[in-house]
Amino acid sequence: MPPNQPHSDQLYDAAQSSKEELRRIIIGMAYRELDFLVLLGSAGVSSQPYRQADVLLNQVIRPLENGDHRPAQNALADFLQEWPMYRIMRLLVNDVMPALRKIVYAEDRLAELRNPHSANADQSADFRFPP
Amino acid sequence: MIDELTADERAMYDALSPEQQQQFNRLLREQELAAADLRHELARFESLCAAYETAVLRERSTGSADDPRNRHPSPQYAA
Repeated sequence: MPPNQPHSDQLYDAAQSSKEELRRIIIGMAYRELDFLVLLGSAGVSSQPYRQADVLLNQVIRPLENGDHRPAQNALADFLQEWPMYRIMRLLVNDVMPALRKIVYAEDRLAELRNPHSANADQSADFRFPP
Repeated sequence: MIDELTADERAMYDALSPEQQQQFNRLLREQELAAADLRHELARFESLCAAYETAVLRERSTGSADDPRNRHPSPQYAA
């Protein structure tokens, strides 16, 4: 191996650190969304934002905090489909959902590559992130 | 940003106190900044994953995956 190429272990650790940073940012955005919904609810016009906040907290944020990215991704997809699209939620659609999809995909692919006996591990490079 | 609110959202926004409207606008601004950070970190993550895959396949093809002599410091990849 040429001397300046990093070992795969170093790259794996760096990818894991990057994933943790992504997770930290996503959780921060989800909590900001929660604050936003509570603020809208406090206007007293509708109780709907409070109901949305409850779903967001229990079905999206809690799994995210536990590192359960796939259930969080599924719950967020449902959340965005079922509730009115407020301005701030567009960032969840445009940025958070794609990031979560990529994290879930990468977790599977990294696990395959990490396991030398995996059926897919010897395939040529095919890290194809979802759009 | 307020121009982009839905009708329902605008009704709730109008019912907020001036202080709450400031908080509303601050949350939107902070969320935009966080989204920019997310896009930046996501690009880095994708690059690292692809580099890891390439390294694994290269090491397997050369049989060097488990040789500690091949582990070079690479500060550019530090978190």
